[in-house]
Amino acid sequence: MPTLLIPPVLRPFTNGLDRVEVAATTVDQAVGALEERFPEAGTRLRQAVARRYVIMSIDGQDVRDHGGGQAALSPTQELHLLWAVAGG
Amino acid sequence: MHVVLVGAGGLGGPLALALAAAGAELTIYDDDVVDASNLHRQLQFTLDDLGQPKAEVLAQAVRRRGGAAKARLQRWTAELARGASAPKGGNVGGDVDGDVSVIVDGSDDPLTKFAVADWAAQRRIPSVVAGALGLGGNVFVSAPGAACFRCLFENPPQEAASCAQAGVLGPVVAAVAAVAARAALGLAAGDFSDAGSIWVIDAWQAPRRVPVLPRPGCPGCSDSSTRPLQTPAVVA
Repeated sequence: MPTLLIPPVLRPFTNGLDRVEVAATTVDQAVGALEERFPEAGTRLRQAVARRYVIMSIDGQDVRDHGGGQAALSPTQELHLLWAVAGG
Repeated sequence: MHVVLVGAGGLGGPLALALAAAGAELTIYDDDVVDASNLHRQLQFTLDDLGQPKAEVLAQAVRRRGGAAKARLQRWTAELARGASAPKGGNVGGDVDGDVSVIVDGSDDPLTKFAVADWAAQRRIPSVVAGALGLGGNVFVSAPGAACFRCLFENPPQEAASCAQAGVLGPVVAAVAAVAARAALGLAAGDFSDAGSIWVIDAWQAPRRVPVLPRPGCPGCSDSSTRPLQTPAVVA
């Protein structure tokens, strides 16, 4: 199954898990699977995507350039959640 | 090697010391003063520095170690950057003196990060934009021809917590700053192999490098030699 890499900001809502395997063949399905298992994490992720402060990337490819939510995920791929971090 | 460093706090402190120790001459921008709440992560400051300008105290710390640094007690803004008129290639006048090898952002707010990244993309100057929060952070590395910060994050986030608001584990800023310093030194030495990528740093895992491709039509870097940049008007 593909793996969602959970950034620190979401881990309070995934019981501390930093990786979550999801039964999914697309990015949308992966987010849906995350939301089903960890509703608050899914909600926060969707909000962040809508506000454009998280970018999703598969093997270094921005999913926006590969079909967005319909971008394909193979069982061995990792979906990175790149969160805009503004502190310093 | 002249490095402009924006931010003299949690990231700026270790960045300044590492870059200056490697021979960089620094110009440090920051308009903030030292507060007691900074001390757990901004190790360059002591209780004696409370109330003092961060940029000046940090520049002094660099000079005490034999390095070269000058302080600018200003926040780096899009307006300031526009005043720092620079011909393409890096000779900078206005508020920034001399040739700039690399500009490094370690500030604590998204508007500043975008202002730094935009200025660098417009002037075709290599740049590093670092951020840290909570238990992690990231470091975006760019150079002419590679993806810029706006290729990834199109606009400043509508909501973005700062370390002062959301907290940060002290050692995390040092870890993020170490990655940023290494990237900046590479760029300054002409090694652009990291350009167009973001390093993701997590307190519990090894840093991961994620490549970022230039985004067609990106307002930050496409046709950057001729078109003025849009500056985001409002960030909630």
